[in-house]
Amino acid sequence: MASMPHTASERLAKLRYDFSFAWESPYGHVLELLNRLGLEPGLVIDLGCGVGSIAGPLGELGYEYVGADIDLDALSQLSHRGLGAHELDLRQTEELPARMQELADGRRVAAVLLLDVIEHMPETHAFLSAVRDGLNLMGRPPLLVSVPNVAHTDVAAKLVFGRWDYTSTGLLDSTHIQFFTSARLRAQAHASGLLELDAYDFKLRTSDQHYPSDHPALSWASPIAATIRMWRDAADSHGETIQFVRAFVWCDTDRASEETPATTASADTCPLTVVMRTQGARQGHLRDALTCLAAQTFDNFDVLLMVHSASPDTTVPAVTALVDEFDSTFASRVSVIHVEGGGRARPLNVALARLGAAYAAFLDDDDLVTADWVESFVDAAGDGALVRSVAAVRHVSKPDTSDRVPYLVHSGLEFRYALDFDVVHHLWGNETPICTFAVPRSLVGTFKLRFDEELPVLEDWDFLMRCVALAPVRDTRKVTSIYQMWRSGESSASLHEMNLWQATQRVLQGRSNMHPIVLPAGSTDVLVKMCEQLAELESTRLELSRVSTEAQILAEGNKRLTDELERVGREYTVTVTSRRWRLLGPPARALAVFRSLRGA
Amino acid sequence: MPTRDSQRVLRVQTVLFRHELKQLWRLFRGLRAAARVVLDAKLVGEVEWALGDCGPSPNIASEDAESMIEQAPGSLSAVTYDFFDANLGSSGGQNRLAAKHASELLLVLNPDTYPSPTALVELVRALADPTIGVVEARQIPLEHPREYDPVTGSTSWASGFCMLVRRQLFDQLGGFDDQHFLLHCDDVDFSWRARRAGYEVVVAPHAAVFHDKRPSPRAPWPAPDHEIYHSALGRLMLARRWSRPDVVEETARSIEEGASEIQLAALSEFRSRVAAGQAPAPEPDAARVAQFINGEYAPHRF
Repeated sequence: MASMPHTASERLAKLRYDFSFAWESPYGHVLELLNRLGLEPGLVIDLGCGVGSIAGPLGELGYEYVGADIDLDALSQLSHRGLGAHELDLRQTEELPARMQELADGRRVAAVLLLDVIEHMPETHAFLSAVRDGLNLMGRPPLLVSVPNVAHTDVAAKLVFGRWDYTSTGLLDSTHIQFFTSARLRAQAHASGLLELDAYDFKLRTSDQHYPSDHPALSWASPIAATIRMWRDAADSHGETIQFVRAFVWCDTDRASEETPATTASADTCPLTVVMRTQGARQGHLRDALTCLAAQTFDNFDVLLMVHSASPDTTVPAVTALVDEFDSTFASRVSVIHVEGGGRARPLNVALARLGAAYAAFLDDDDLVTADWVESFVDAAGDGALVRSVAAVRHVSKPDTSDRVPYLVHSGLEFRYALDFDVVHHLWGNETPICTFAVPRSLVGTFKLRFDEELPVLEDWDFLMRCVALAPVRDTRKVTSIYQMWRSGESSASLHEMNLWQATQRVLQGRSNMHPIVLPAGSTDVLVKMCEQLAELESTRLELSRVSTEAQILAEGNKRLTDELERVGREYTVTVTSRRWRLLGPPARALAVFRSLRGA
Repeated sequence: MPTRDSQRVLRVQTVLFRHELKQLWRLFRGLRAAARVVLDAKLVGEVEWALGDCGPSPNIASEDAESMIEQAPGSLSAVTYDFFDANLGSSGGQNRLAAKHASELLLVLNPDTYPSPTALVELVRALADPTIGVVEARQIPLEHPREYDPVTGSTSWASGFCMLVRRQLFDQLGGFDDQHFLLHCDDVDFSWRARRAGYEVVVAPHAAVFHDKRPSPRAPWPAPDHEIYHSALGRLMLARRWSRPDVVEETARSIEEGASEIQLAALSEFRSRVAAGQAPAPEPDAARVAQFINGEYAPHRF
């Protein structure tokens, strides 16, 4: 940007903006974006043009170029190249629309450029509004913008460690007086009556802020740097964005509010949405599950009943009719939504995209809940925590003798899951079925966390683990749901072979193993106890091995003695049964006795 | 001349004891929807809800009952509330309520329940079979472990949390035995008397009724002291009535060995009543219907 400097030193510093053009650069992305818009040839007005680095390539593409800047030296260079160059102070926003119209001078304007400009303007809203008005006077051509991203991972990581390094150019150019994230740029533009049309952001994993390279926040090998990158990537897709390169068009949006509010009103009014999955095929189960919801002690919640992989002509109306059987005080809070395509996770993600409440909880149509299921979640909710309750397990099956029974229960309740969440244990296996946690809207909204639709099973475990990497967990320590394990029939547990579950479990463990993990306080104790138990087991194993070896040696010795005994026995038998022994044995024994007596 | 289905009155009876008004409104909403469905099916002509209060002070104001009526057009035809000013127990309360109206069908229903919309339809349909005298709903989310025939629904006894009874049978049996079974085993005793009278007692598995029980890892459902007391007393009374002195003896021994003060108090009460001639007389032909199996009154599935 070249409109601000006034002094000689500033003008000198400005020369650093004399970037030579490269396609793989922010300017290259601007041209590609222009190309994507499919504009007719015409005039391109470059506001804050500096030395007009982009003018040459634009000319080659057939556009007529005119630049405007406050920097007379830069304009002089432009003029020497035979390009249109006009003096313009962009801070004079009241005059700006008319000045833009003068620059057009009656010609058809293909586009207006604002490259590295907005971050130098003191009043973003006022400036963009003026630009918008200027666009309106020249036939509303698209506006192409290039703005540095202050939330690049390098900047974020250093800031975690208290570093904020201004530089003469780059992401933290010391002349920047406004800083933008993707969301802020979009919100400011929208508030100024500019609608984002397209984007082709310029990205680099390593920015000009990647120094000192041995800093723990930046080192590629350090766990903390890897963790920060992981979290940054979870937040949005702009961790590696250097410049936002965006195209905007004039729009008739209400310009009253400058910033878009972070949360909607519905988050304040509805504490919880229950996302319920059904295929509509098991009406008895669905009615049971809905009855459990209708009987809740806390009724300020709504239900998104996601009917998945079902006929829109028969099943969806049948499910709607079933909901309408209920009392209107409950039925009116249930929205039946038909979802087509995708796997088990698709209906969950469709629901999360619509989430308006502060929390989302999940229920499959074959699981049941107690009357305080919702109340327990809502009581423990807050501070962005994921709330966890506990499921009891029971075994059920589909009857084959008669349709008088919707399902057969074969067991009492098994309390196999711990009352307290233990993330270490959850790395090994899931103790928190989908009906036992409620996820805060911040994870779904800010971090855009979704269920992995590629997973055939265990999508809840995978989702949970990604949630608890970001959010604290609050335990209700209450058993509020009944997770039904199917012996036969149509449940996930029976349809999918156990080896599929185990294979998916290994895949997810492998995926988790690729990233560093952050464990909550108390985890050291858990790990130490595990290690102690392992050491005890190992010690016991070694002792068993030693005893086993000794036993083997003794057994071998025993066998040798036994063999010797048998051999002697056999010789004895052979001897005493021999003819010679029978003739000579007794006199020989008598002689031996005689000799021993005489010797004594 | 028998009453046509569309003219029959289904009387739902609920006995209260210090239950929260909020809980009753919850039940009201469930009942309102279920009543609408059974009326639409023309299986009955009217559904009314009778509340009887055994608590020390009135549970609800008369305005609440009036408000419920106003909010139930096309559904409940009447909501009545009686404050008994005495703890009659669930059995005594049910008998008192039943005596106030001569409806053809009686539904005994706990206050901590919520019927699914089709529960009443399924219960009334099951009772269309003249050989069936008592129908029990299926409890959710915690199903009772008692065994029942998956085809006929036939079972040893029906739980009073939600049981539909023919009025004629109820009157024939003299209602619940509130002299000997105040809170517990009144339903078992009633069921066995119904079966001895020649009627089937069945479970209607499609009649799902939510029963507000909260499971705990420490016990299937933690019982308060008064439930422990009446459970022990009820078992002793039941074993005596249904001619099982061995069960009486075994129960007494178990209580004495366990040394629970509450259960010992129940045993002492039982012995006092026996001594005073206030225990139930043994029933004839008991072995045909009564089952005492592993501490329960029916084979259990789990």
